[in-house]
Amino acid sequence: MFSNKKIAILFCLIVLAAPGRVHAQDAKDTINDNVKVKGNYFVVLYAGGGLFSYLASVGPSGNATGIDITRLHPTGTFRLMWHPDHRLRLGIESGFQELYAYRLKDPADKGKVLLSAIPLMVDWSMAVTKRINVFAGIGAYLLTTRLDYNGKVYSNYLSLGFSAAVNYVQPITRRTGIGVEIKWADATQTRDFGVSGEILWVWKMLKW
Amino acid sequence: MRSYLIILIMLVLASSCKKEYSAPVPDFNNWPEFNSGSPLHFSASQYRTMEGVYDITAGNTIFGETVAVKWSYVNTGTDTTFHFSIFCGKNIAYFICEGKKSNGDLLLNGYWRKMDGVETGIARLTIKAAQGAGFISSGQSNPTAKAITITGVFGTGQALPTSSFSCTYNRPLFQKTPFLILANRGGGRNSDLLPVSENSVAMLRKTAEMGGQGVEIDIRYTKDGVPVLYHDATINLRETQKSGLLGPVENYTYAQLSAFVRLIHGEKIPTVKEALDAVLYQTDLSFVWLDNKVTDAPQVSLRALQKEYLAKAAAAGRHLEIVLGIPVEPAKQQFLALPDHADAPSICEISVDEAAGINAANWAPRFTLGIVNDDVAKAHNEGIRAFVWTIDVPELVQQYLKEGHFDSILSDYPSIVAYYYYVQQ
Repeated sequence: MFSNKKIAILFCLIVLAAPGRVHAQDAKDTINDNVKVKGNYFVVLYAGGGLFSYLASVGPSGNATGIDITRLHPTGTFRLMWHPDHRLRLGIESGFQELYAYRLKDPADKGKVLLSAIPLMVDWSMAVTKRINVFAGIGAYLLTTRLDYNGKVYSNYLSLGFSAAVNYVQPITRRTGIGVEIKWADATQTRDFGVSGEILWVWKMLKW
Repeated sequence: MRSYLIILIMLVLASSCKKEYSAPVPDFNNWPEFNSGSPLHFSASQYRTMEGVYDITAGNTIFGETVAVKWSYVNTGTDTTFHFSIFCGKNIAYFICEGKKSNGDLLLNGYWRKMDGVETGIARLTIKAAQGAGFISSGQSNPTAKAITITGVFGTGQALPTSSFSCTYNRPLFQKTPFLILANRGGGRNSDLLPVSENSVAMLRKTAEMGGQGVEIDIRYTKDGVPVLYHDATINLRETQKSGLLGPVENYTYAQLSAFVRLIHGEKIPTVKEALDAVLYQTDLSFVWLDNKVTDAPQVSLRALQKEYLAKAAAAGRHLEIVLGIPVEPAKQQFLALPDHADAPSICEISVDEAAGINAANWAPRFTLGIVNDDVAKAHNEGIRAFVWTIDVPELVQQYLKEGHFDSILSDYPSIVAYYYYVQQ
């Protein structure tokens, strides 16, 4: 089984070993056209939604009756990136992820848990081809436990966290595009990582 | 070419950057001779006959030149299990074995562990009939020539043991009365990769095996006010298995924690009542330090449990001290708010004067204050004992025992305190 660190490093490996040229002068390319054009600066908004899946095992051991786990959950990403006139970009990311949920199987002892997260990330990004961008994020996840068992509990915990993503963006106008993104997310206090697939809407908000 | 070089470097990093440590107790139940042996059924004095300081004649490169040998027991309902412990002076190592008789020999089967690392392995030891088992079995509690030799083998991990170990009785264990070896967090920390979780009932049962005569336990409160054993302020992965429940302990009721949260080795978070019950009825521990982590919380429920279990201990004829911890001023104020605080045994960390002012019988300075013998003498003059905490460095344990006049040392490694204490002359 791959560890989280190994996956992060392999992700970096793919990024670093990717083709070194970006076709920046394509007039239709709304997202990556700053690269190699001196003096082009953009602020680009990425907004996406999709499904997140936490792949590892969940729930405490020693539960006699076991648990039912729900693994596919909605997720949303909101990312604001500064695209300067070189390949490396900087930005911030937030959003919402339901990580996992489970309920006790015992019909006489009903209870359910939902763990969700709000990422608070600083992102670095790079265009690796004309349409493909990679992202790496470090920061925190505001984790929220929603427990429903003999009363309801909402409990928060701030966890160190990481993310990495790769997306493909197809321009639809000079300032907007749509795309797809695959993201790896890891909040350390959940021990294991999850992956999401999202549909993106990209908007070049500012240009100067 | 550059891309391939990067790939190579990253692959090297990916395969080397994470190492997970563990020290699982080896399965030592495959010694046919031991399995076919008969239970010891010894008297307390027979067990004590084997206790002492031994000189190592084989195995000293790992375990040092001398060891301290001690028996302890746990009582699990109708059954009592005795453990033979060897506390070593090197590598914070120890052996924990169970005993049986076979053909006149005493067989000691178990494992060893180095606490300054993760090394562990199976240990198969024997006291042969002609090397002490004979007079131990016959019940001679004070033989004129106490010539006991323990021989055997130890191994690494799950491998069959092949390395030689032997040690010979030298002298009795040092006994200064009173001195207490206290184990932190119910017996040991999760970071030391013990087979049971810190602040669990299972850990309390193991404390004496590892040399502890008493324990410090960390106390927090659930949302519905149940005092439980838990160190950190939050439910987290350091102390618990992944459950989806995170955040402050006091956000959850005891029923919720009990249904959804398990400590890292699968135990439930114990209540203080369960812990005191285990200490009183399942171990021979003589001291419990209730370290209240919520310093501004009312201490009424803890005081009630303290009174209940001191009365139960007295009724059972057990010598057991249970003290309320007073680490800081807010906790002192809560202690003084107890209607019967003058009668409540306590341990005050603030200062000797503060301890005297609240009629605490115990003062607990942090070890970083140094060997404060003047303050210890002042405490003793007030009739107050001095418990220094928390010393984990073997050289410091030795120094504090040799130069200090403390009445107790609290440590995450009670085995090393036991070693340096018992080998004194």
